[in-house]
Amino acid sequence: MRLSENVEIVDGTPIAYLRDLKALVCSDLHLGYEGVMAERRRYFLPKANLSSIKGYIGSAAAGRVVKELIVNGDIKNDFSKVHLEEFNELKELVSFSEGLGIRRFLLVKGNHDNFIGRVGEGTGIVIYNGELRRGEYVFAHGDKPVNLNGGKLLIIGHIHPSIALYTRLGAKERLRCFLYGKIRGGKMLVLPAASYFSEGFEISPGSESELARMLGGDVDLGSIHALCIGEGETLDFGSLRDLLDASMEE
Amino acid sequence: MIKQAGASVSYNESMAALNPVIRKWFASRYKELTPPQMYSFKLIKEMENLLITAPTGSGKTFSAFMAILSRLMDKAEGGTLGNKVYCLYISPLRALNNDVYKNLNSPLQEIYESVSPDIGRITVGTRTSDTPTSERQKQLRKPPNILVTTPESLAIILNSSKFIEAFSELEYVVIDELHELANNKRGTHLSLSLERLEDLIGHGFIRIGLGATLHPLEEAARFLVGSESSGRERDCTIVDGTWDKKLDFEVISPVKDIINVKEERMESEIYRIINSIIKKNETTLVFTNTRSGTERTVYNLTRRFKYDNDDVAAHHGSLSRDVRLEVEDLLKKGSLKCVVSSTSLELGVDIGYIGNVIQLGSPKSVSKALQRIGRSGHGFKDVARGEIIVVNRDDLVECSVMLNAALQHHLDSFNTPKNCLDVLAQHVVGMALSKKWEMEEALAVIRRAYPYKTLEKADFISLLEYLSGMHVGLESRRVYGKIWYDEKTGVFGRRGKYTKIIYYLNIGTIPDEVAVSVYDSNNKNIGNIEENFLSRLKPGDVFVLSGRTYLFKHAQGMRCYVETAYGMVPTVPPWFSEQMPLTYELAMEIGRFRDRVGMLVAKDVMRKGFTFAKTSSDRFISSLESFKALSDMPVNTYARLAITRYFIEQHMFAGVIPTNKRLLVEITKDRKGTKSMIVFHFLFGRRINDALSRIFGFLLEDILDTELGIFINDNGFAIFLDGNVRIGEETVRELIMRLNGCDIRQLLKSNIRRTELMKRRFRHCAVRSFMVLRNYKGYKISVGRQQVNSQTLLKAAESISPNFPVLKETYREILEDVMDVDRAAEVVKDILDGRARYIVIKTPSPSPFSHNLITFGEADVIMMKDRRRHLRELHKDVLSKIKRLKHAPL
Repeated sequence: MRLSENVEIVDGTPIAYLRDLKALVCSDLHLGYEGVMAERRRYFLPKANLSSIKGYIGSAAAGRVVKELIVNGDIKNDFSKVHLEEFNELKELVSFSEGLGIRRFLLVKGNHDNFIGRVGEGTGIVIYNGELRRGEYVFAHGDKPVNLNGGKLLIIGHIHPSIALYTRLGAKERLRCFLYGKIRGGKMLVLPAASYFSEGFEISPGSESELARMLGGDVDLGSIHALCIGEGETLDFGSLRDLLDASMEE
Repeated sequence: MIKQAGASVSYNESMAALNPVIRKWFASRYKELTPPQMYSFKLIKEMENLLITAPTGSGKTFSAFMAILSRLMDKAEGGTLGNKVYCLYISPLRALNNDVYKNLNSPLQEIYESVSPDIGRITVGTRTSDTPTSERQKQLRKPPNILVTTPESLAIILNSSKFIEAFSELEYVVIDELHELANNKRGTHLSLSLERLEDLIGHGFIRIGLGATLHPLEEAARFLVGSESSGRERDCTIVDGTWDKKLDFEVISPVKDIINVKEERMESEIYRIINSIIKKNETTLVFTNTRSGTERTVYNLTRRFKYDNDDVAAHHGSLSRDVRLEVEDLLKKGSLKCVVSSTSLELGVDIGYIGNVIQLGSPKSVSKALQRIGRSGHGFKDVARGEIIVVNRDDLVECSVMLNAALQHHLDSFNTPKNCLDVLAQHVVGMALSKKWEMEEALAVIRRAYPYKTLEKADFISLLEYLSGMHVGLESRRVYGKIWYDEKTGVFGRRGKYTKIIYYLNIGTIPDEVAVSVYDSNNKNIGNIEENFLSRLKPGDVFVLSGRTYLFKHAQGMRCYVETAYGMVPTVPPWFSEQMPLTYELAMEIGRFRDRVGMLVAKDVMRKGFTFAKTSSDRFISSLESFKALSDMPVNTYARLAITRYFIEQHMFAGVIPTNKRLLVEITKDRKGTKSMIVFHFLFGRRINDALSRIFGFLLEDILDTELGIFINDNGFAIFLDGNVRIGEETVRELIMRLNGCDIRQLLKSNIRRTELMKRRFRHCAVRSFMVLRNYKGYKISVGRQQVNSQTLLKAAESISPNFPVLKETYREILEDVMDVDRAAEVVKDILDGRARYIVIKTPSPSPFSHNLITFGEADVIMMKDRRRHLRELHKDVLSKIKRLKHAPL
């Protein structure tokens, strides 16, 4: 789905492609999640996250010129250290991406990315604290207040957006989505979590949401569109306000 | 060999089987033997495995323990009574354990008053999760001769090597309330514990099973004794005293017109009837089907009839232990007029004399009805008296047939879950903690337990692979593996320092559910709903909670706020029913009843002078043959009138009374006319309807290519479709045609994934298999905080293999335990072979027999197979709504 001349959402994936930067952008990978859960809670989560992310990146790179991978925070999961599983998966992701011709790896540090510094050296990932500005884009994780400040498109992650929909017979569907729309001074794109294990948090246009708090008065959330990840395609479900009204209608 | 006991043994001969001291004490207390005792004293002395079934008050516990105490007294007198556990008593209920402890200790006290002080003392101890640590340690130093425990505590004991030494001379294992264990995973768990115990101590023991009603008894006996390593079934003698107590009961319709009565009137009549029964008896026990129902009944009785807390009390599992004990105590003293309970008092906890039992709503099976009503009448010679009060017409028919079946000594059968891999996972971890095992050696021990007799070796190996973490890379196994397993040598054993703690803290088979408390506008707690259910509610939705309707307002954390919505039609069906399913046997019985009464109704309406208008007259109804045919049933006149009218209405509306040989398929519209619906009046009980509804749903989705909703209850199921989808008789014919050559089991297996049922059951199995832990390092992990939802977990498990043990067990549990897939396949065969005929009719609105189903049925959805199309449809729907709302286009 094309958002502007240079910005495209890769259909059916949680990844955006920036043509002018020749870059793929994704967020909230939470690599090593299964291992961390196994160690912390002794959960037996079959490994599924890395291979699913590789699948997304692989299909996004196909037929596009890609030189860069920008991760908008939370590339790993554990707060307190770098888990062995995280390190291994990170390395594997980098070498997989290199195989696709990707040369540069940029990470905007997220709240889960503690102690990532040393790892960065080993894998060639360049790490940015706070925000990264490239051309007209402002990249930030999204856990702290941020504004465009001269940029044209703010790209964030962190909140794992999704929307809830009800089928005609009352079944509930929760779909991960991108949020896209106007903010003061330009536009905003919120990336969904790329992690296999996150089904996302439901976003409502109410002002109490974390997103609204973070952007202060810069956004009218009701006007933001939810672009949902479907099967091999991306579907625009309209603005959050319209969605809410539609769900109230019988 | 499993055999029935022969002729009973005379009083003298039975008494001769006892040790003289015990005999003297018994004779001084009891002048005669109860029926089970007439067999058991001698048989237990002869060291036979024994299954005893008998109603409450028939001296079951003593029938087992007198012979055991005799044997221990022989030892005491001979100076060979050591600090060893000779007898292990297991019951599913801690309260029962406390009773047994008391009921053994006080006779022992009296017995020892009359014997020489030199004779060693027979000791009794309880060990449950309530037992303080100091007491447990004392038991380690000086084990009691009779140990009273629960299945879960036994499983923990098995991994205490010190305690196992105390069992080296174990002779008897008594399992009480076998009927509460033989039909579920808790019992499956216990059956493995017993085989592990036998393996650990290196010798067998006498097994004595005690139960109320169980059918078939042979199956229960097999469950109790298991088989030897050679595969030969162990011997067991059955003493069947199920029908030793006389029964007197009746189904009551509280009002004459159950349909057109106001809710308030119905309620006041119900309480008036309960009160009149309370007044006639010293103590009355009322059973409700839910805890909130229990509270409501107590509240109403005290409010309406000025009882106070010393007269009427509640007893259910959510009350604190102290409150429950106090109520039990008051009951034993005979000072309470009435106690209201959900299930907690249906087992053999000693509650003294109960004059009468009242059951509110259907108990769903003959066995349950007998068990509950059997709580009344003190001794085995007393008559058990009870009333079932029902408030809807399906229940009325159901309970009438149920009690009639009981009068004719027809019982419904139970079903033991077989080869459950989740329960086995727990035991394999436990086994690995004790020693290194050869795979074959372990398999032989496991197969001795009846529920695992047919366990496939390949399944066992795949379980070992899962538990040892073979599905992940080598370096990750350290954290994933709960055992180590060497596939080359076939040896497995313990792994990791935390595994023992994981085993101790997570053992058990009862799934946790997250309960969300529901509050009304006065901030009064009115009950709980599941978190899953809450997540589906939208403000304005109307749902049913313990028989009443509420309007959902909003939720905050684990609280949900509602308003009472009298008389409103629920907009959200219950997604999972807590009710027990109606048993197959009873469903068949009801089918025959419908057939018999249906034929008479058909004749009645053809009679000269019959008009529907006349049916409002009781006198006219009373003159009908269909009414007269009910005269031999244990029901009151209001109930007979209501049943007759119900059948007449159905016949006049639909032209047919559906039975199991004459199936009715009704194509109709819902009340609003926005949804089409096909109602299958299939009276097979919910376990079979659960399977059939999904099978029909999957095939129909194939034909129509649209999302389907389904409603299920014991009397049938309904498939809902969007009102725009055209359906007709030819749709049903095509559906039936597609059943031809269809592998029912395979069809269910490959499609059940598209339903809600699968997600929920998978989480239960994942917890039982230690895939997700409830408790780790002593911290309880609440279900609500399990970050990974079941859907994702399920997807991840599928990525490993469709035969991943936790998945395989989920399919098995759904197909075999939740559903009855084999009988469902038989029904399909009957339809295809024409043994069961079906009639398709079209009605402008749902016929009377479908009303309960579509109002209170349990719901599920079948997603479209093609997910891409499903999402596109959803998208189209939302956009068209937005367009209707005249918002600006994208």
